[in-house]
Amino acid sequence: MRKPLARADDRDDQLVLGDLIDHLLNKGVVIQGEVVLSLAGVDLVYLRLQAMLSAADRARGRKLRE
Amino acid sequence: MTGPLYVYAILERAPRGVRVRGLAREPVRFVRSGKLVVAVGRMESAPAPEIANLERHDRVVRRLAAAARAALPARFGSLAPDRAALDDALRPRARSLARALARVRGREQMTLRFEGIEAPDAGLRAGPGTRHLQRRAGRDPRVLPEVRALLDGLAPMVAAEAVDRAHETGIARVHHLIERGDAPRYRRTVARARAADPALRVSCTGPWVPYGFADGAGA
Repeated sequence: MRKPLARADDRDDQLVLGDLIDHLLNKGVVIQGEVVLSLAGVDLVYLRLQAMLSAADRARGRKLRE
Repeated sequence: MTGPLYVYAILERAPRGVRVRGLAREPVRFVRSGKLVVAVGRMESAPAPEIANLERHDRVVRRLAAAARAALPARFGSLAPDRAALDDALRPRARSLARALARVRGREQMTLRFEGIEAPDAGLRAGPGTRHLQRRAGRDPRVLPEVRALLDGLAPMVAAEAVDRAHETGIARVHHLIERGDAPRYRRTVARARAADPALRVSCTGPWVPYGFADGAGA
């Protein structure tokens, strides 16, 4: 995996990766209507990715609290 | 252009003398949709949502934003069946997209990530419905004094702010629109605030192309 382009202040690539996933899958201009339908099959994968992201966030939160 | 079009970004005008390859190495073209310009690539199907593809999409969008004063990044996987469908999707939102372009012109995004933002306390008298609604609404990190202090320190650099509230992970994000070139000063301010207050659990990434303000979000 190439080095992410956006920096994290503590050089934590995992932080950048987490924000990259959030920005690209949750944000940005949405092209709706037929495009949404045509992506229906891919949305399920997005949901799994989001579940993985949430799990990673939870794991990181637990690690910081220890 | 005929056939499915993968959308990278919405622009005010096509940048001159810019040749960009898309995430499938296809040439990125600039097509007009009403008064907007859309950066697209010819692609038969949406790319798989793999990390490598997300990074490639982001790189393409960054190149487009660097060549233009204003760019609204498209969400990953935005595929229009054809030009007509693209125009139909954008026409009803042309004005709001034009406003969003004006807002992000000459600007970029920084993202703050706050941890340990606990769920709001509904109170002893709150019924199950109220508690459910409060959990769904999530918690705004800006209610915390240490977060408020940091945001007040950043305020002179911030043109707009958008918030992703915390839910069960306890993680909230605040996105800021700042002038291009202000990222080092922004990061120094965050680092100083973190050093001064151990209770402040925050990290900062960026600069990003303004994903968090592309659909008119934020104030």
